[in-house]
Amino acid sequence: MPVLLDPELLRLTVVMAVPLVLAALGEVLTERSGVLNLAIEGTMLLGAVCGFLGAFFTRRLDAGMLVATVAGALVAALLAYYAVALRRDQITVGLVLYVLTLGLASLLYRLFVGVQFTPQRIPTLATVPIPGLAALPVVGPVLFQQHALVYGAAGLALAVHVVLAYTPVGLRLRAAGENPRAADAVGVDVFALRYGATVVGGALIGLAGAMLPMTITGTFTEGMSAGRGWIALMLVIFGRWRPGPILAGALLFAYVEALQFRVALLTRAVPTQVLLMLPYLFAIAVLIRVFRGAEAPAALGRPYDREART
Amino acid sequence: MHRSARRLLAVLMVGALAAGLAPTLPAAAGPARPRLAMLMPGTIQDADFNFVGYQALQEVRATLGVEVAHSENVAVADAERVAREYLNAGYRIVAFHGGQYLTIVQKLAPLYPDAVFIMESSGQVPNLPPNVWNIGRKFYEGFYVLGVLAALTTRSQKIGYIAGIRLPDFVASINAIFQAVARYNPRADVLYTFVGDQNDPVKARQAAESQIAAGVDFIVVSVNLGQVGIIEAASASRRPVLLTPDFRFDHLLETAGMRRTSLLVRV
Repeated sequence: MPVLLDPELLRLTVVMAVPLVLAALGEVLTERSGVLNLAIEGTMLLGAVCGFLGAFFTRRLDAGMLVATVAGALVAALLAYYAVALRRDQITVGLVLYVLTLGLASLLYRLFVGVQFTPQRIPTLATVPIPGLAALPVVGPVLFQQHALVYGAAGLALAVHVVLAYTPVGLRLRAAGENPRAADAVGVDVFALRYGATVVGGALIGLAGAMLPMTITGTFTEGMSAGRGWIALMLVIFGRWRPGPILAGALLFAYVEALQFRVALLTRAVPTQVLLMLPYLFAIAVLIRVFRGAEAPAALGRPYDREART
Repeated sequence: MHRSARRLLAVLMVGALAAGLAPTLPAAAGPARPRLAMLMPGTIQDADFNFVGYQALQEVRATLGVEVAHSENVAVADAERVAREYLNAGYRIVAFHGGQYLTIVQKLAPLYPDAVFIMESSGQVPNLPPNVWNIGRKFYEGFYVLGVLAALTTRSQKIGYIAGIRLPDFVASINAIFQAVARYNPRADVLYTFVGDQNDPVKARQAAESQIAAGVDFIVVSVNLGQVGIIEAASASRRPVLLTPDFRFDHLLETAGMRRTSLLVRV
C-alpha cells in the first residue's frame, strides 16, 4: 500500500523515533544496573527546556544539548543518591522527581523567557546527507538525509549493545542489576556502577528531551514531552532490556504515531479521538504479547544493602 | 500585684494595643474592588489565544482597578472545581476563556446568581441564565475568507486545515471553508485534521507533514502554539506551501527561511 510506505511518512518516523531511542537507551542502562528511573517523563521535559534555553541564549545547539545532558544527569544523580545511598523506595522517589521536574521545566521557561507576545525560536538541526547513500532511491531520503542525531542514536544503540554484551564493564553492570550481592562478593563496586549507570542514563534522557525542540519544533512548549517518557519506559519492556529490539520498537511506535494523521486524511469513518489513541492502543496491544516471558533484571528496583541479612 | 492594679494594667495594655493598631486599619473602608478570575484551557506562553486572555486581564486590572486572577491549563473536567474555588474565595466575575466550558457555565450560573459568568461560544446560545455573558465568536466568517483565498490560490487543488480540539467554532470554520471552496473552486479538495491539542507543535507538525505529503499546498492554520510545528513542516517541505499563521509568528517564518506574502485575488 503506497500510503503506508510513503517515503515522507517513513522519514518523519525516523525523526520522531530519535527522542524515544535516546530516552529508552538511557533507561535501559539505568535499569540494567538495578535502578528504576520513573522520573523519565519529567527529565525529558526538563531536558527540552534546558536544551532550548541553552541554545537560545548561547545561539549554539551543541551548547543547548550540553545543558540538557547536564540537567538530566543532575536529576538522575539525585535519584541515585536516594535510591543507592539512602536505599529509599525507587518508585516513590522517581515519581516525586517526575512531579518536581515537570513543574521545574515550566518555571525555568517563565523565569528565563517570561510571558511574551511572540514565541521564541531556535533553529532546528540541519540535515546532514551522507554522500553516496543519500542519493539511493527511497532508502536515501528516509535514512541518509537526516540530522546528525539520527545517525548518532543508531550508533549509540549499537554502542550500548556492545558495552552491555561484550565488555567487562557491561558484565559487571548486568551483575549489579541481577545479583548485586554476588557481584559485590567478587569485588564489583555495585554502588559506583549504579551511580554511574543512573547518571549516564539520566544524561541520555535529558538529551532525548532536547531533541524535541531541536529537531521537531524549534520552540519549547509546556508538556511537550506529551507522554514520550512513559512510552520510552514501555519500549524498554518491549525490547526486553536489549538495545536492538528497543530501536526497532521505537521505530514501530513512531511509525504508528505518524500514521494516525495519514489515516485521518484517508477516512472520516473513524472518529478523530480514536485515531489519536492509536499509538497508545498499539502500545497496549503490543505489551500484552511482549510482556509474556519478558524478564526484568532480577534486582530491578531493589535497593542493595551490603549489611542486610539474606 | 493587687487585682485592681492588674485590671489597670490590662486596660492600659488594651488601650496601647488599640492605639498601636489604629493607624494600620483602613481610614475609611471604601467599596471592595471587584474580583475577576479567568480559566484558560492552555498556557499563557502560547503567544496566542491564552496570552491574549492574560493580556486582557492585565488591561482590566490596570484601567478599571479590578482585582484579577487566572488559572492555566484548566481541563474541562477540572473547570467546575477551579471555578467553585474562585467563587468561594469571593470572586464574583468568572470568565471561561474557551468554547469548551459551556456546560460548566450552564451548571454553575444558576447556583451562583450573585456572580457573573463570562463564556465564549460560536454564536448565540439559547436559554442562558441572566447572569451569563456570552461572547459569540464568529470565527467562521474569517475562515470563509481564508477558504476563498485558498480556493483561488491552490495549484495542487488540495487545501489543508489543521485545528486542535474539535470545538463547534472549528467545525463551523471547516464548514465555512468547504462552502467557500465549493463556490470558488469546486475542483479542489479540503483535507482537515484535528490534532487533539491547540498547543502541541509536535502533533501539529506530524499533521502538517501528512497533509503536505498528501499534496496540500495551502494550509489554513487554526491551532495556537501548534503553529510552530506547522511552520517547521512547511519549511522542511520540498514543495512550496502557503500557510495562514497568526501575525505574531511572522518572525518565526523568517528564521525558518520562509517568506511573508500578501494575496490579492479577484472574486
